[in-house]
Amino acid sequence: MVAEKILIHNPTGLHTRPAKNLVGEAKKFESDITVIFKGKRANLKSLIKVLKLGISQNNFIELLCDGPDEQEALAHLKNFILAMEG
Amino acid sequence: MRGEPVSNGISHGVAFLMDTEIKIINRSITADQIAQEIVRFREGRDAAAIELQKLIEKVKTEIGDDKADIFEGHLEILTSEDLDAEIVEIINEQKISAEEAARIFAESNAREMEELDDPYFRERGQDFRDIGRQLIQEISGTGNQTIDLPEDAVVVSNELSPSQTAALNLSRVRGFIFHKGGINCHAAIIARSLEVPAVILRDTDLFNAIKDGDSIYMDGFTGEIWISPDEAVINELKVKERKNQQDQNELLKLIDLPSETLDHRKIGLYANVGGLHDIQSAKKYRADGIGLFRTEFLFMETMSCPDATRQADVYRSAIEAMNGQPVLIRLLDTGADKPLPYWSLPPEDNPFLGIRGIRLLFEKEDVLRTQIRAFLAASTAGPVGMMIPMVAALRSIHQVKALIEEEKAALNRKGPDTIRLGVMIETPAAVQLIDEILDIVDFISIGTNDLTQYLLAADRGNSSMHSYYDEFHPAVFRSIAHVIRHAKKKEKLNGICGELAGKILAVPFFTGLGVDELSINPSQIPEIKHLIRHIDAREAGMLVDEVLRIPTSEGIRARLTRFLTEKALMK
Repeated sequence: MVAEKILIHNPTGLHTRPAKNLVGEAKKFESDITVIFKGKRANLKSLIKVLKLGISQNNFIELLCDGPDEQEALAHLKNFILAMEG
Repeated sequence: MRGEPVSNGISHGVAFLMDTEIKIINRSITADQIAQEIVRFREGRDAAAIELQKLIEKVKTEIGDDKADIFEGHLEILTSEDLDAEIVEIINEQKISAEEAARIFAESNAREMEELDDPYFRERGQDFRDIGRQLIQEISGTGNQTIDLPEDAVVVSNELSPSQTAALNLSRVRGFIFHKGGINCHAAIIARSLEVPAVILRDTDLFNAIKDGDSIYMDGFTGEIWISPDEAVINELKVKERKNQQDQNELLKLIDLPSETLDHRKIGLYANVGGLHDIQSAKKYRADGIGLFRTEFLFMETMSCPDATRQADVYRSAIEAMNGQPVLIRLLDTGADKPLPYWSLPPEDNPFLGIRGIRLLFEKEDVLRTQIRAFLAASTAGPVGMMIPMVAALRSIHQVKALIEEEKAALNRKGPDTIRLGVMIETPAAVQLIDEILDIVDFISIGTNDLTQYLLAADRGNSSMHSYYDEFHPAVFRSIAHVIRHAKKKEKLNGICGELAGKILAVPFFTGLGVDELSINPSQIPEIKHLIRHIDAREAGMLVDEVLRIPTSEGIRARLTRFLTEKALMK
């Protein structure tokens, strides 16, 4: 299992559209991917669960990847989050 | 009585009480009914998704693209695997009806969202309730009931969800009175974009005093509401309304003036429409023509393709309404990126580079032939242009021409063509082939949204491409100039549709190019006309030469901003 803390920097945070894009990216990987925010955990492959975390700009989240492709998953999702705009 | 004003305007109409409560009969089910209940849920979910897609089209055409975002979010959640899994689990575990399960799903998610700190996320709670309501309606088969609004209706409702508001026959609404909600509830936002007054009446006794059919006068500036007021009040309101009208008249005056530059060069302002309902609006703002009639909405009215008669009726009505002005209708433009609910298309890795637009129509040749027959039938009513989407090679144009000839022969139609054929210029290939394309068509229209994404290799739906997808990119501006200049040389009708056509900053550039028409949302016409009427075409022509030498988007934006600022045309 690998984990990393990431800062959400895009202005809208994980609103419906960016969250949907991120969930789509997470689904590309076999590993279990969990996002932890303010002590709450959610499966990053689930749009509704991610939305219910209410992640806004300048929040830190922790990404946890666990599975055969965990390294690639973490690297890819981290880059994706850092490149998010809007 | 007085409430909180949330949308300006003075108007009067007939109270129309809308009951928006959803009643669910709570029934438990036996273990062997579970499977059936899950089927009911999924069928209802699929039906709700179709209704939402239609609503998205309606909102885009009647209110504006940006107002559809919320419903696109709804569709995302509605069709998510999560929603499916959660509702199936509720049915399985609690052994209750699909409707009740949808209600529990919506309510529990809404509550959770409403506990969040960020106001954006708290508001999303309402979205879950709206989604739940749409689901319940479709599962129980009580959806699809069109609400028969009287003419000049003042809609009185406890509250209205976004989808309920958008589904109304908005052209009949003169005002809204709500019991709940706030200045930024979606219904209020829609009221403002419709320019009708809206008031929130939180006092229950006052709210309940309004009865169906009451004659209502309302002042959306102050929040005052009168039921059958006396003469004095009506007169006072009339005075106020007149004053208000005078301000509006400034704009109306502009409406009757031609769209031409200071040195009298005509730039046609055409309207983008999605159906007959928009034609009214195009007429209201005195559009010089219809530059883009999207036919997708017509194909979403029912769960099958409209037949030639239905299509011909719609096209003919549009042509007759425009009374001799050009009506350019685009052939059905769909693909895996925006599928029709009743066509199951194989998923593509890269739908924007796949079977869409005319490519898909060639695969569904009977649909294309039907549409061509409808054009032929409607073309007796007046000038009509048929616009081919997604052309990247001359072959597509030749193929459409051949089909038109075959259908004409089948109908025994002889004589000169009444259909004018045109092409959407939206691929880099079409830009390069513009000379040859112009030789075989009657008109062209540049679709800037697709052209930008194809030129810049930047998916416009991908939010991480945001900084790469830039309509002010020099490659986009140079391509547009190339195409328009060639079309002018060959004296073929040329236009620009797509979002860039309505961007204030781009207007001086298009004016300088001397484009024949800009096709924009009808409500944008006065604003864009105001600009054109304050620009000198020769001066703008020199600006074009300058802009075409600028190598960056930032540079182009800065130059155009300076042009407008110097003329005090920048807001």
